[in-house]
Amino acid sequence: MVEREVAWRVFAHEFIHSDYFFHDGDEFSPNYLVTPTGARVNRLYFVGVLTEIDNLGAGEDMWRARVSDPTGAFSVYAGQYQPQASVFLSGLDVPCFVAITGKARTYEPEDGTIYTSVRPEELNTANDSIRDRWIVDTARLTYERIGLVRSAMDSGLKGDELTDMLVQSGASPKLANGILRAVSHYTDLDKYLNTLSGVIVDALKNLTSADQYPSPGTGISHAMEEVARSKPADAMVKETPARYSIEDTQPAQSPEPAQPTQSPQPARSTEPAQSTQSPHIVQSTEPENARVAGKEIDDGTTDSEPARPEEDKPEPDEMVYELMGIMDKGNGVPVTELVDESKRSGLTDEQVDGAVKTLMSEGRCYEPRIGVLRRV
Amino acid sequence: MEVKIAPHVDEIIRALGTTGTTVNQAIIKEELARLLEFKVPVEEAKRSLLKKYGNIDLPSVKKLSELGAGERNIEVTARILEINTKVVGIKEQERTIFMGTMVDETGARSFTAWEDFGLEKGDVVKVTNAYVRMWQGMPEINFGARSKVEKLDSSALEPLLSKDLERPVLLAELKEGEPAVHTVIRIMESAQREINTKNGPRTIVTGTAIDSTAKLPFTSWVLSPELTAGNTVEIKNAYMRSWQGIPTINMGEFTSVSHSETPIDDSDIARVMDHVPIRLDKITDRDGAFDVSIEGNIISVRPGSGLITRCPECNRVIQKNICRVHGLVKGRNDMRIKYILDDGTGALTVVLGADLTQKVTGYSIEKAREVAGADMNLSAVEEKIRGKLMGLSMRMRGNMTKGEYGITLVASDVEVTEINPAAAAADLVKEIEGAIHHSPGQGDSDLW
Repeated sequence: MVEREVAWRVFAHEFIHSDYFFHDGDEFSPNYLVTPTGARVNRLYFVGVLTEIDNLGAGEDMWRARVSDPTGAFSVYAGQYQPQASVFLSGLDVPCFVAITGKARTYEPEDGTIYTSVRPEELNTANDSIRDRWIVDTARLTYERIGLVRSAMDSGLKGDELTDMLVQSGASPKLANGILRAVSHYTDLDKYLNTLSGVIVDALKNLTSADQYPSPGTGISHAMEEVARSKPADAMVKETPARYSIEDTQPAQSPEPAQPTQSPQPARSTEPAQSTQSPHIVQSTEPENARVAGKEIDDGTTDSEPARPEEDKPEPDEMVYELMGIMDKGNGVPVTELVDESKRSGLTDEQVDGAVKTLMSEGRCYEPRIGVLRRV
Repeated sequence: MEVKIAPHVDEIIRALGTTGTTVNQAIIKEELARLLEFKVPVEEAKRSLLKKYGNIDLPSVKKLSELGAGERNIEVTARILEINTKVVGIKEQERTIFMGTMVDETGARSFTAWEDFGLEKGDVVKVTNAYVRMWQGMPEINFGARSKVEKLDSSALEPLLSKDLERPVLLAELKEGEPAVHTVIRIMESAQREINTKNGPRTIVTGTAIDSTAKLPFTSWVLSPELTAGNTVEIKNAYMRSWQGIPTINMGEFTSVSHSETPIDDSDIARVMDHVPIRLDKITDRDGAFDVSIEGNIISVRPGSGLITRCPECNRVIQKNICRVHGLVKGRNDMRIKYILDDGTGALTVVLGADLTQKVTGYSIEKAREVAGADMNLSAVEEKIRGKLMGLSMRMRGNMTKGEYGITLVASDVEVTEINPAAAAADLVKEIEGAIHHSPGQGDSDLW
């Protein structure tokens, strides 16, 4: 009996920061991607928002999809040997929630960097509640792994002694093995774990109500802040203090040719649930609105609830929506330009931020490329 | 090399001497050197020379946990944990044999001594020229007239008891085939049953036991008044057998069942009674589990789910109305779902029958037939079910078994679980931020 490989829960942030691939034994033995928290990933399961879908090249039937979670985005490649996945992906409208079980793959261009991607095995459309649940579960498991890796680093133990200690602390033997490998492979692990903890907390806070956990550095403002880093002229940077710095932990990752949108990751801004952070939603009498909107882009696997009445909609949403339409010359509107233009029309950063999130969550705009918005 | 070989050569010569064989030392030395040149392990080389020149079979020294079926001429050193006499009929003659359990630092094994070696409980013995037979699916040490049993100084071998034998084992830790099981259980339910054995009808007690970690079925071949629902009992020298893939506690004539001083009360077993789901990594390393609750995501709906056809005679799943036993039959429609449940720590296959299939999909067999349409497109039903279920969080109960197709749980109940993500997220944030402030680097998460 061959034991089935567990489908690990890892956030995109951790997945794309993983660069340690190994395989034991003969050519038929499975490959594993060891993540910084010691997850020994052959298979993984995630739920996110499909933000891009492309058919790569003529003749070769290869589909590339980007699936965004609150921390980053997974690259998904389905080729001729995944006909069902290809058919499924090609029939979806962007954006929508998807649940994917798949195998971890890596791509190593000649410069020595390693890019991770997913080869799908089974896919389905999902909804916001499945996605939110995945975030909570993944946060819990990732947080536990972080604790175990930290205790491994603090213990000063090695080899079998360390394995025993980890198993005693509740790790499965597989995880213990992964942690041993991660601790010896990854440099600056402590720093990355801090970053990842921050990322998890941000992802979770996006699920809690805005008044309970006000969080300046999250949501689209955070995403915009990252975009802004590459465009220092943007004023928003000064107003949104960074909880953590992506650059700290991304020393070698540069954009991959086949995946031009590798980094930074504003794709998180396509997260509809994050709109619960929006000041407009807080004023609203219907705090669940964002979720309702999320359900509407689901394919009907769950009952849809009535959408928010039109008259409740705060004005900035419509202004930004209008601007997005006017400024679009056919290829979408860069976020930075949209922000500048909106501010000229008298909106604040927060209002634009909130408006974009609301529009995204309502499925009225999407992000065809990182840092670019477009009306649906 | 010479220096290293010399003591071994001496040993061989001495051993051969005991059988009255004398062999030229130079020949032994040369042959031993040659075998070693071929990288034959020295013990094996010595054995083959002894066999060649003296027809002496050296026993192989084994630890109890290493014993496998069919091994012969072994030597074990162990402590007698339990010994009982039994009268058996062999070739129409009554004969007394000695059955019990012995233990070394690696584990416990049952044994049968076919002669009276005057063994007593607590003795430490070295048994030479013993052999291993499978008895009720487990290796058992056998020794008789041709074996040599040597009693050793018991105090000198105290480390043999390093395995803590007095500690009762929790139900979740019990493995199939374990002898000498010591555990404390509460009886959930029990009933006497008449069964037919090859020696005629017999009354046995079957039921369910529970402790803080699990429920397990039990079978007692001896009637004991203590085995009554609600009692907490301490059981010594029971043995584990697999029954329908589930580890089952067996109590026989040598098992002691006594009233436990400290009762297992309701709060101790609350988690098990309330069906608090057990994490999959904690359950997939058990040999099997009885009425266990688990939770996770459906990450794959397996082929063969949905509308199926069964043989009306034998219930086998059939295709095109042809049963491999009953030939052409008029198949009977049924529904089932097989899916992979995965919680990020472990994975197993879950099987839902028709009722539970209807519960989670809303499809009755009639509705499924409608979906399949006139041409009975079964994959259409499967696709619909995949669309409904793949990705959902589910909680279910049932019996878990391990087999050649992997780990399977046949569900007795299933439900879709919803949580309040905002509240769960807030709790976890509190926990993470609390840990950062109070005890950095220590996740005090509940790893059950």
